[in-house]
Amino acid sequence: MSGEGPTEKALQEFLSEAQEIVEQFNRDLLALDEQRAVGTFDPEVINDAFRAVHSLKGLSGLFGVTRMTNLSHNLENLLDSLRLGRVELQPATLDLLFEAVSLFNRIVGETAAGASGEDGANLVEDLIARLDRVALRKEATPETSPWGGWELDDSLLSVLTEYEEHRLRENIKNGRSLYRIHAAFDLMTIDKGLDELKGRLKPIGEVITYLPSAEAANDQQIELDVILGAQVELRSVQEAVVGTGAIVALLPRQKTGQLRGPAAPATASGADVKPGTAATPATGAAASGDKAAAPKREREEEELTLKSVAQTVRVDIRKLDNLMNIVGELGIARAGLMQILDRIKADRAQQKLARELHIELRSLSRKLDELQAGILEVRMVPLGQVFDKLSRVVRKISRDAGKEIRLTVTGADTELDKLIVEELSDPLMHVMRNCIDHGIEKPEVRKTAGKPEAGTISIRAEQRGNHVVIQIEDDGQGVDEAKLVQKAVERGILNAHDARDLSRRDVQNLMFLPGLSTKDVADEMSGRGVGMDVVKTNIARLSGIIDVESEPGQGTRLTLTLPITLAIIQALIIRAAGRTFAVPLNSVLESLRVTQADVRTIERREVMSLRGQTLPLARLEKLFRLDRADLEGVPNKQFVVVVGLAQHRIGLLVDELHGQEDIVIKSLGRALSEVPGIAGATELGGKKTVLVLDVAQIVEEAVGMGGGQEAA
Amino acid sequence: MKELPFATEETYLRRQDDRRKHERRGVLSFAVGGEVYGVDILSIREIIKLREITEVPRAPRFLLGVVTVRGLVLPVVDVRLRLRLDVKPLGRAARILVVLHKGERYGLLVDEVRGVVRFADAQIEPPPPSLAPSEAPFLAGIGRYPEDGEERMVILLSLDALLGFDVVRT
Repeated sequence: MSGEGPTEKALQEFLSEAQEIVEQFNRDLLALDEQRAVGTFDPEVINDAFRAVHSLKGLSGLFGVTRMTNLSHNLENLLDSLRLGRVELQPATLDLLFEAVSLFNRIVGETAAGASGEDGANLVEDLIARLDRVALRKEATPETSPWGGWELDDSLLSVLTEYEEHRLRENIKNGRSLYRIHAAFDLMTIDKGLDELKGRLKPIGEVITYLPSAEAANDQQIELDVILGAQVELRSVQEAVVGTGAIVALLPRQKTGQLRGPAAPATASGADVKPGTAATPATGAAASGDKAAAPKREREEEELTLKSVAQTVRVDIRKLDNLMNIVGELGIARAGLMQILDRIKADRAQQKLARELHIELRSLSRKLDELQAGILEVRMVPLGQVFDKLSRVVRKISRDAGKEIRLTVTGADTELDKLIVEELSDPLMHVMRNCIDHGIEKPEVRKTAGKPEAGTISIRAEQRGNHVVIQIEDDGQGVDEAKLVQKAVERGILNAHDARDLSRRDVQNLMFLPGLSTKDVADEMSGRGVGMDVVKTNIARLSGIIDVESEPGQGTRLTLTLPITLAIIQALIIRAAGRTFAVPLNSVLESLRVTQADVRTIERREVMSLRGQTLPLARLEKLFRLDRADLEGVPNKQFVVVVGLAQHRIGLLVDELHGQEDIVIKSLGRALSEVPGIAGATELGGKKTVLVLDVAQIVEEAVGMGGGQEAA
Repeated sequence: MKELPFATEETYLRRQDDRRKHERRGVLSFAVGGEVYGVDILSIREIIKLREITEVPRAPRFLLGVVTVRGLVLPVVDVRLRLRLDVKPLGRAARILVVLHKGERYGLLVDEVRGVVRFADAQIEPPPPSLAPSEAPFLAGIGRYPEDGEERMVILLSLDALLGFDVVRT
């Protein structure tokens, strides 16, 4: 109105909030899609979707993103019709809703880029027109005897909102029993009490409404009648509310030819119920009902608008990085103080001071550790954020490919550092595409192979110590190993002789080699190969490792092993060739002392045997071509640090071990960010900068095909 | 009370314009391999004494390694090696200039810091072709300024060229 647009910062916040809401909306739709397959909808999910769109409408209106406001408004109409049961949820309707998700994302993207999105506007218009057509499609008139033999008081019916009435009808239609639960609440704690009661009832049925009861015992209390629709016996409802002091009664049913008496409720079955009080208050409720219903609806409205103002703060991840840096520096300061403490301790005259300083330092240390853990925790987000996006992609790709896919996800609540989760979405998307395009066969093929027509992709995530393991498994045709080898030989990546010595695992891992991933090859190979090298590179950049196992005709399993966080880690400080390095502890398996005699050479590669297995060894000075001239040759006694992720492991030959430290890995800056084998640098005490090794990369180089490829 | 004219946007802009015309560029001058070079003072964040530089393997020779300054890790470029000049042992006067270039910090190792000189854009000439061809791509111009009654000159370096390298993943 003043012509001033929203500030850049406000706009950013709006966009990120909008994006979050759209993601929530998408999750709701996916849940509905799943429920559609089963045949029953959770009304709460439709409500959630409705709320999400409602919030979007309000939000986008504030920021003048008209396209989004219009779209939300029309979606809201449709969802309202859905939740009131005016329209039935058809697959086509769901498709429209999913289309809206993509469109929302597009609008968010365009708004972020500052584009007006001319052609986007047409898309919105088009979708709105189609939404309206669905929303306006009226259902057949409801059945004539709506209450299915339940005796419902007019006074009750008159205060129900349209939605509540619809839910009541639905419950009756589904053959559920209706219960009235009478409960008294303290005026001060009614919110909590009611929430608790609802929480207990939720697992057994649906709370349709709650109405104030007329029988207020005193003015410190409010008594409510909760109407519950449930498929369970009276006894189960009673058990659910045990200890709350609530009284349960089955609502009376009309018995033809019999007069109903207020004192003859159907509660008699429960021995431990107090009958009488239960089923009578209907008439009383009527008097106050009208009055009470009005504020209730108002509150509902309020809830809808306030929902978006959740108790969360959106924070730019860089601010957290900054905090993490400060914590890292505090850690260095602490190390400095510790050294001073040691010096004071050495002075006999200062013992008392030393003790005091020691105590203070200990509490400082503890708090510092808590602070660090706290910041790390803030950075953690559930993997579900990516998995939700994947579900949408899978839905779309499988449709395009004409394949039926069942996607199962477990461990969506596994948490990872925000940055890692963000970086994961592209590679995972790629993996999904590969699974569907090349892994899962066409329905006809599957049928002849005796498999169910719908292919299954399962994603499992779980935390294992300092790592998160994500497994993606399909029941498709598996990797064609022979063709993979043949292609590798043809392309000169492998010579025929070496090929024979490869283990099956090595063969399957060929799929990650860049040369084998061009589109035409991938199709011919019937394997997956499109850009799997890119997937691998991206995972490696996150200090992760990807592995493949495949059984012809039965399926393929990809295993991704990732560190939980990159921000602060424990590291083993080592010295090799006169330089100090830090090795992330999460990839160190063990370290041991060796002499020159333990090291053997096989085909010009150094190895040693460790518990009966051959362990390839690597020397940093060789890998990095470090100058050892300043030292008197290689010392006889050395240490081997066994490092590895997943099944790949090597031993790093180092000169000294210097213990563990908590370190903050810092980037070497743009110019050096691509140096292979180096993950970053960190500052140790005494202004010393130390390089942090990229173990995944080093292991790969050391075990890599045809000897380590070293940089020029 | 006398009425004072209010400053309008116009008068403000005019004054700014005037200032800009006469504004003289500040250049930090330093010695490298016996010559005096300079870079725009605005790109300098700080000047630190020489400290232990952690070498980074697989990096080009002129990239000596990294140092940590106020919690940030930055690569240090040996200006002498970058300009392909002779390398003599560093003296006590050697310093690392911390420069901010395109949002990233870098360290420039120089033999000695001389000071700040100022001159208007008009006093800057294009680099003469007679200079060593190896240096040529890094030069932005020659600035002349009077000092102690003598005319002195400083060779202006282009940070774009000096820091425009990539260490590519192999």
